[in-house]
Amino acid sequence: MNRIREGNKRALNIIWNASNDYSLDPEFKVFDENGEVDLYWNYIIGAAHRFYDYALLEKFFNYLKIDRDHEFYEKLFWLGLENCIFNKGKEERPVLYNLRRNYGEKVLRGEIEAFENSLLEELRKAHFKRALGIDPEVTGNLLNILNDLEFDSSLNTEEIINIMEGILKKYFRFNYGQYERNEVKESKDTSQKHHQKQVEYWEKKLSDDEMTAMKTLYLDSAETARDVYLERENEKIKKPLKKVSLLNKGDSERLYIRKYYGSSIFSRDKTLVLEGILCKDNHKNCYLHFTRGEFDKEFENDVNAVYYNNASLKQRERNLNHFKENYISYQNSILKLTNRIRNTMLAYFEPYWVKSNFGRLNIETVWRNVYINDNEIFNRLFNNDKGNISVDILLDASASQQERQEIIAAQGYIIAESFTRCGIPVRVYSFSSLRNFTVITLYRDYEEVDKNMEIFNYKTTGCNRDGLAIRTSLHLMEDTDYDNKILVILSDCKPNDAQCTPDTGIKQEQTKYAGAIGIIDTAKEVKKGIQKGNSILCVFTGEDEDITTAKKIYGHSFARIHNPDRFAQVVGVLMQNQLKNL
Amino acid sequence: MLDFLRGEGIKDSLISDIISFRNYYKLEPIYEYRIPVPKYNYYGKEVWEQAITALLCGENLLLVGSKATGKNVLAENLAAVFGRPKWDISFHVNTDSTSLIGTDTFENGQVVFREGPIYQCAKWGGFGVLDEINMAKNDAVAVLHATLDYRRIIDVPGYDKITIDEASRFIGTMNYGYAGTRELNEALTSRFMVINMPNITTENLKKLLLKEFPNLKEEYVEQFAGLFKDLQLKSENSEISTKSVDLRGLLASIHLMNKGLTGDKALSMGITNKSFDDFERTLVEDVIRLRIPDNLERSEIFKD
Repeated sequence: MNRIREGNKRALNIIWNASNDYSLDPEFKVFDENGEVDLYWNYIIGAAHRFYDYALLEKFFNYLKIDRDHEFYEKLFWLGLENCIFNKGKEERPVLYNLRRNYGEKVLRGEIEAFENSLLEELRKAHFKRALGIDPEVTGNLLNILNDLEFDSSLNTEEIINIMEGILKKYFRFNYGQYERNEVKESKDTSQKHHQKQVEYWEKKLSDDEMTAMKTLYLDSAETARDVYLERENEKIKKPLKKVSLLNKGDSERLYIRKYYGSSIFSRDKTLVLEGILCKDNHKNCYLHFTRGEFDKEFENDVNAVYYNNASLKQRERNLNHFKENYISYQNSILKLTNRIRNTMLAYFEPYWVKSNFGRLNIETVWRNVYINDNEIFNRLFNNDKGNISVDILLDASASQQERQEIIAAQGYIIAESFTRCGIPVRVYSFSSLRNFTVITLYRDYEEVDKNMEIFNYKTTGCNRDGLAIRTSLHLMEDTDYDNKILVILSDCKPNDAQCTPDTGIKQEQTKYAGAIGIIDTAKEVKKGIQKGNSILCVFTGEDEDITTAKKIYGHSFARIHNPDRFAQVVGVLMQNQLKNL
Repeated sequence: MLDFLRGEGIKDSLISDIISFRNYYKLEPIYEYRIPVPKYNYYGKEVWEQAITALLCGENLLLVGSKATGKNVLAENLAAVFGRPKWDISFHVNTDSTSLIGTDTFENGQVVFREGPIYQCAKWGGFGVLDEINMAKNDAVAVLHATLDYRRIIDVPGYDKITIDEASRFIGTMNYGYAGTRELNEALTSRFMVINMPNITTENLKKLLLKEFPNLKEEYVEQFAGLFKDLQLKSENSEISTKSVDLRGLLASIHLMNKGLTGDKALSMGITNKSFDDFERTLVEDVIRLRIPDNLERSEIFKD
């Protein structure tokens, strides 16, 4: 799984490199039968973006998709594109001669997995034979196709597409199946049919835009918090019936949150004060709830609350089981991370005295100067004391993290335990949002060294208002006396709190906290925190597609875990750099 | 050196000002050895003009830029152009006032004042290069405030107050933007004119390569410059760290190739292996393989 992800990333990097455009999300990537990334072909794909109008090519590729056998045509087209892209790129990168020759030789030696379609395979062989300066050894139509297909590098995108369409028309029964149903007998070269297809091609283009729109929609609601959504909808309907005043409304909601997330650790007044400080700007009309996740006895008879509490307990069980199943590797990670942190602390934090020819006079050694002319009779203190450190670990407990709850709990535990073993105070909490509440669940506080296991109570629910959560933790950190404060966030960098509907009393105003708004807001909070002198690091737990978001929010200070075995190493390096630079 | 500046297209008025600066400020012969003879030239007309103008006006300079932007090369070049002795002062967490200005020491049974590099530089009209100035703690460099601003003095407690030589300038360099690097405090920053060092352009990179290796074939000048730019772009997009974006490493690799090592081996030593992450190394290798063929021999790279 990780190999695939790394390979994917590697292919992307080659394509980006060739295209000079790191914002691309290419449709095609090339791997060999062993899943190894193919350097040459991925270069060709990247360079296609660079040398040609890829939007047009993309439309054409989409058009090809109307045929059942579109893979055949796509490969055929790429074979042609390879010719002109190579010729365009060889000036800039003479190495392409070698790469192409190597690839061609591999094809001829049969070291590259053969295409299933024998026609395509034969064409490929013929093409690379010619590329290697050998006679392609094909005749008749095959030779004609080859000649037509090897696009000249002087052609522009439209011309290439036109030629390719010509090839489809002339030699193949493109999209034949579709029309077979309507007309039993169809000759190969009825040009009328192609006209018809042309129309369809443009229609296809339209629907392509629709696709993009769909995609955006999908992305916006990517949080898998559907249950929460439904609940809210129900609540909305209920609300007018209840007819609660604004003030009471907060309290009834608070009750609701308390029921599901556990009793508050702060008094109502303290929470209100904190809300006054934190819930403004983008987070106006939001509320906070601080809890340790302890079930409030008040709701013992409430079936829903009990059910939810049981679910939490079950999740803890699952978290623990997962940890136990991977006990050895996780313990290894803890050891590795602990050692790394400890080494850094030793190497960079210990003050030490050095003999010197200036500094504090060391009276016992003055004789050395008089009798043996040793000038180094002073001591100098090399002070590495950077003050004490505290680490806050913030776990994103939104529903989008649902499928990796066990892993995140374990990762949080590893980090917390490692710092604990180094004698560094750690505080661990998670955040998620339900209704307008951002719930901060505290697992362990700085001095509770024996409570790391509480982290396995981690359970995902609802949405996430990363900006508010980060703002809250930074505020809580401000109240402590530590000299260097580090905040580690385990998040998938998908701020999303679309359900937040501030009730103005007059009408519902939907302030969406998702997509770009959420990202910008979160990035702003992170920047503010750093400017105040805190260190903020992110351990990215999400999917590849959100890496750009992570970059936007955390800059260089985030670690992507490609491989769980390397968790300690990757996080270690991140921590090490941070500690070194305190 | 002045010919080089003319070649770079620096305004004649600036060059004649430099000449009068050099003629006006004399130099103690004992410190002539400190005038640098640069190994590399800095390329970039705008930056040159900015820097020269600031120094002529008596300002101190702060060169801010990421790796391989030529901060130290420019500082060295400036000292050479102005013909002043150069003091290199590397800043680190343990830099304190005594290591900068000086302190008492014992010599032959007597307490004497041991001059620090800033003190010497100020006394003899040198150019002080404050390397990685943001590595030191801010309070440690606070002693420099009076030195760097209009007061131009150094007051050593219990010793003496000296006025800084009129020809003295201080050039700070810093690498900014890495996770966790210290912010330079405002009090210190305000005492400098700041130049944001741009990344070396492809054209200047080619000039540099050709100056360094005149026997390099044209097509490989192109490829090595392209390789460096590819890596730089990849790093700017956070796909790789800055470890492998190493101009020094690239130049050293080409040296090794000149000695006969094959291209891929030399580059793996000079560039790829600078990164200690397996996956990152793979990405860097891919970039190299898209520029430099495997087993590239010396004869293919160099003309002679």
